[in-house]
Amino acid sequence: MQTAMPTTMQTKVAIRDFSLWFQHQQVLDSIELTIPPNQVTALIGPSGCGKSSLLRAMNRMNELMIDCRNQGQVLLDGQNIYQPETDVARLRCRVGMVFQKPNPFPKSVYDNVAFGLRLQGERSRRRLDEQVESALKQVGLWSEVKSRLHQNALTLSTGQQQRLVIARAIALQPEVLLLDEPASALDPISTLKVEELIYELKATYTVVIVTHNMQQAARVSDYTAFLNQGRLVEWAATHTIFTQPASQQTEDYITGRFG
Amino acid sequence: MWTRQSRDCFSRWLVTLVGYSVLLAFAIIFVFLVWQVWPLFQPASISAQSAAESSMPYSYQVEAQRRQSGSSGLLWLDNGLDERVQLHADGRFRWYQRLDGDWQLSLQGQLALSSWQAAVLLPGSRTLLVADQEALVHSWFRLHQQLIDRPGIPLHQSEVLALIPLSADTFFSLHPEVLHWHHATTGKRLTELRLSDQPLQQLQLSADRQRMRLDWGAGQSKDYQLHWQHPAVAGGQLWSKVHYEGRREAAYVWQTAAAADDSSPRLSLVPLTSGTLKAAAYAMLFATPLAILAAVFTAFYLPERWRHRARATMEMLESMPTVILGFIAAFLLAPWLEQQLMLFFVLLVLVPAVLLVCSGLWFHWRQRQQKQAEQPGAVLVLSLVAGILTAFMLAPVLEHAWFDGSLLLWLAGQGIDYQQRNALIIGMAMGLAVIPSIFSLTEEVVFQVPASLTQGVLALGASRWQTLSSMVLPVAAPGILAAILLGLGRALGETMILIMATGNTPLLGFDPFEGMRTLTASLALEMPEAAVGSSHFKVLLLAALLLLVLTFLINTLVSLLRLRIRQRYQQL
Amino acid sequence: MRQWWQQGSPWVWLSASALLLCLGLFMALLGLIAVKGMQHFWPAPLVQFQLSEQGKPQLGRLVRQISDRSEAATNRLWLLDRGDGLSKENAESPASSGRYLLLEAQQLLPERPSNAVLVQLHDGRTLYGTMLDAAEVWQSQEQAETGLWLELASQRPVLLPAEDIRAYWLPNQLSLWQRGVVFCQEWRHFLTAAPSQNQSAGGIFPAIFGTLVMVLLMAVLVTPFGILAAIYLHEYAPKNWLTQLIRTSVYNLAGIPSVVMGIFGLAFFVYVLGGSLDRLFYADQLPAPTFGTPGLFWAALTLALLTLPVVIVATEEGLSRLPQAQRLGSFALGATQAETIWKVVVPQAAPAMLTGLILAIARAAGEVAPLMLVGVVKSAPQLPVDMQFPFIHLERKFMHLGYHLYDVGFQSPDAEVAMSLVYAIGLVLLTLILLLNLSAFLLRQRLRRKYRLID
Ligand SMILES: Nc1ncnc2c1ncn2[C@@H]1O[C@H](COP(=O)(O)OP(=O)(O)O)[C@@H](O)[C@H]1O
Ligand SMILES: [Mg+2]
Repeated sequence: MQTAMPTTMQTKVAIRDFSLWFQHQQVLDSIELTIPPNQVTALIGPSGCGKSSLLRAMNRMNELMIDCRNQGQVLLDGQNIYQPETDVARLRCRVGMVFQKPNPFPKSVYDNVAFGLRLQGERSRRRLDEQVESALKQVGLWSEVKSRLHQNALTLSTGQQQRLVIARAIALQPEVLLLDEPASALDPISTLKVEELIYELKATYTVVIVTHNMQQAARVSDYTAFLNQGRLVEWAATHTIFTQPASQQTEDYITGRFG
Repeated sequence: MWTRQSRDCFSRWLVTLVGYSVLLAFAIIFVFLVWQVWPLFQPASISAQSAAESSMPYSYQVEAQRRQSGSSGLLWLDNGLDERVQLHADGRFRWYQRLDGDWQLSLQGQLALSSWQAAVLLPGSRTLLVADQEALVHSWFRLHQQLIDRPGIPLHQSEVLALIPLSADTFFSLHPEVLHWHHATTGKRLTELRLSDQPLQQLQLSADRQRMRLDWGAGQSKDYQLHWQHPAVAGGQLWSKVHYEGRREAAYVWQTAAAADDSSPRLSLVPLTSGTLKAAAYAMLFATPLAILAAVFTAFYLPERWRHRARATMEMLESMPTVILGFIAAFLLAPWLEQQLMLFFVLLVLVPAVLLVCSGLWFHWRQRQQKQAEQPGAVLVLSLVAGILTAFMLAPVLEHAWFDGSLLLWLAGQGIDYQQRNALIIGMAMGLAVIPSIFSLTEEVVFQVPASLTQGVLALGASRWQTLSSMVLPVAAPGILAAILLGLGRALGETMILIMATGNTPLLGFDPFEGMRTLTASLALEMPEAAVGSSHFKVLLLAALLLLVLTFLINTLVSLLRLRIRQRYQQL
Repeated sequence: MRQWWQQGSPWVWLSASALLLCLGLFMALLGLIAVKGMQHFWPAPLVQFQLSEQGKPQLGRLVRQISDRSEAATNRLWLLDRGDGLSKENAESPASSGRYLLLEAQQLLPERPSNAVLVQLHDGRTLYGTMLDAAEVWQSQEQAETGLWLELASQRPVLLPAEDIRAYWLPNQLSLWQRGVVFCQEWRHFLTAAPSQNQSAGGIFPAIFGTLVMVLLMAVLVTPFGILAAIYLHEYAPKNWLTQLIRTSVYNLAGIPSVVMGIFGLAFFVYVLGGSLDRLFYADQLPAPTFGTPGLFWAALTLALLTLPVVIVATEEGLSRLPQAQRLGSFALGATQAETIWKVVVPQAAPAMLTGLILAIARAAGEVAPLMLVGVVKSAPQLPVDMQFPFIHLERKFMHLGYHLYDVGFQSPDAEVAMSLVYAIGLVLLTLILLLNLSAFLLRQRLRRKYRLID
């Protein structure tokens, strides 16, 4: 692995020698990666190379899949999240996640955003209202849905649904936000909105985004990591990777010669 | 503290517990039945008992000394109730019967042997047992004014000291050094007791025949406990032919209310099992071709919308309560069939024939017009109706011409007994009940055959039917087999139709014009009356266990086949 | 010819007609029950048959609703004309007219007196006769009582006191509208009244009520159990042999013949469990059993066991159709597994559970064989639910529609008379079950559409 990073940078999430197996197939192989706080880190790579798996490793969603096993450490603020005494539910509140396809619950817009808050035991109607409003405002959805907060969320358009799902995640005020190809199911205009949103979000949150769209990675991210076949090939500041990649593989990939 | 974690934990435990208890429920059903049925198969036994606790008086005793037959001349035997036999040493006998308080001679003659060692009349029965010199106990019983011979019971030793009656169907044979316990009806030896070589003086039995004391004289005696819970099945009567007292030959008999109070019920499961198999066989005979043909047509030829409707209708039919089907069968179908038997057979032959002819004509005509000869549509309905109408018109004519106007009378003339509630009725009624299960599964597996497969064959220029027969059906075969088995499982377990429309007589054989009695019908009708713990009760539970095991095997097979077909489809 | 065979034309024809036959038989069956069941209440015209010569009539097969058994000895008979072939023309030479050949070699003179009356008594009997003008009779009898003067077949006029009469009508004078009114009234009476003593007349209210109470009790028992078991199998169970075993036992439970379940219910629930309950809590009433005898609770429990797989399979199907993304979304928001299941999965799969429940209820309502063993009786003196403490009497025996049908059809002394009543009971039972199934079917359709929307 080749890195060209200042060694003294701050760390939000640190992945140390992390390997992952699904059944008997090795999906990730000794990954070493540092996610700096309040920055957008993009994971790129050909499909099936393990980007989503790496993302899921950061909030332990992999273990909801069939039969997986892992080795190594993922440190969130210096704490290994794979320690047996970790409260997984609490961890997932701190590390929020948004999926490729929007998956709102078939409840009202309001209930969707309030879902996580209610789980945390928030009962006060007033505070719920406030937080729902602020989350929806952050994703720029408030003006669009404030008149139909109590309509079923499935009546929104796909782009709105995706932003709703992001709002649902940030309503919990997570520290890290994981986005797994958040714009791949959207039309160009919605994609643009989501990208703008990501750019704004990094002021408050640490963002990790998986994408297979080079331009998108170039547009929104500060750092980029390139994975191939379960290995981290290269990790650097985005402009470095896109202008002077250290590895031949990376260059081939970003210039579209493979994958 | 009721935190989120503890709630999660609690939920997990609760749900897991319930999940396991389903397994538990199934296991309990199985284990309970086995546990209840177990005593039926426990062999009779004689176990020694400490002498101290057996101080109660014994009411029955036998001198265990060798009778000098021939010298003393004659012997009086008594069944303790209403029969007495005077037996001479040379085999002559006089049989007396008590009628209204007097003893009357009902039978006399010569037994088919010239000398004998011991004889006994079993208590409460009419069976005379006589041990000859060649280690054989002859068995006769009186039926009205006749003596009926039963198969002899072989002994293991030719020297017999005494035959000791124990109950209406078991007795001891006492030999030097050994006591054997026999089942009189089946001749099976139940158990044996080795004795010391000292000559036995006395054998005493308690009134309830649960205890026995052997006395060797000189104050030397020993007590025994006799264990025999279910004499009605102990001799293997469940599955073999038995020559019961009062019958002229050996047979499989299911007769739960015994004639005399203390003789045991006759519990052969053979007629019931054969009834169940017969009913299921006729139902499958009727249902399988119809259901499979209909399902194949639905899955392969019908357009999507009609396919959905056909499936939904079949689903409704599946939920039809069988009590309604049974009642229709018994009160509508059975009288109709009795009157229109000829019509039934004519329909059976004529309708397919007319259909075939029409299809040929149609095909020919379409070919002359040079069109595709596939969806026949209205023509088909018309020819079906035409076939049925022709049958209606033809049936009386044929009946007149061939059977002098009445098929029933003709059958009776041939010695064939036509019962109104018979296997044909069951075939149709229960067939209708199992058609939906066979239909649904067959339709599903045929429909799910991967399209890539069928399109490949169609692309080679095969007709739809050729695709079906050469590709789809072979691939779907395990699924269709599973469907048939599923239907069979349902037919074996069906009850109400069988109670209502079989006539419920336990008959053997596969005669289509006779009724039957099935395991399920016996269970439903007899269980409420059977005394808890009696042999009858336990044999009914055994029948239930039998059905359970049978359906278990069938269902397991069905699951395996379905798994197999799913894997096969995924590979393709 | 060879081409005809090779192209499979005969098989297509045969299989298409097999499908037509199956569906046709089903439809015919439904139609038959519907028509016959409805006919039972339709006030058909009354025809009086006058025997031209004295003698004891022989009843033919097709005679139904003969006015009274005792009349068989007289020379007049009443028949309900249900329009199936009885007419004046036919009756002129009845011996050869086939369908209504009811007296062998005896001449019949049918007529339809306009004052023919059909009287339903409170005790369940039905009388047929001619109504006499009250004024005429009073002159001879010189006393006025409220009631109905009737001339029953070949008897002197009798007065039926008004309090004995439940309803009466003059079938030969009714207009179509009036017939409709009588029809509805008779239906109402049938659905709300108790059967008369001999079972073959009167209403079926206790049977409907018993069926409902039993089925509801069963639903209460089976629902939580079935749903939790399905949740276990689909959400919690690890993929191992034990889970496979549980799954197998669910399928095998579904395959157990219902009568075997009834046997188990009787031998285990009633005799073993009920017997122990009696010894523990009702020792003072022994040897008279309280729970150690078939009753409502055991019937419900047995059927709950029988329908458990139905609920499990339907629920599991619903769970497996719910997109996985819904669960992941919930987990990603920091929900525990319990919260995901109870707040996201279960509410969305609820219609599937309801479907399972309805199917279970439909199955239970149609079962008869196990119920014969564990608690249904031909006539129960008391309803299982009443105003006496503790209101629901779990130990009581009860009546059931399906068993009532069997009982009326097979055990009633006068099968021919009971027949049309049986069709009416069958119609009620069938309507109930088909409605339940239809609603389950529609619910499932809707659920599938909804999931397709989410996904
Ligand atoms: N649920 C799963 N079960 C089995 N294998 C999986 C599963 N999800 C992903 N994989 C395997 O893990 C590897 C990495 O998958 P993923 O992380 O989804 O790749 P990416 O997101 O980069 O396309 C793939 O080879 C895939 O086959
Ligand atoms: Mg991915």
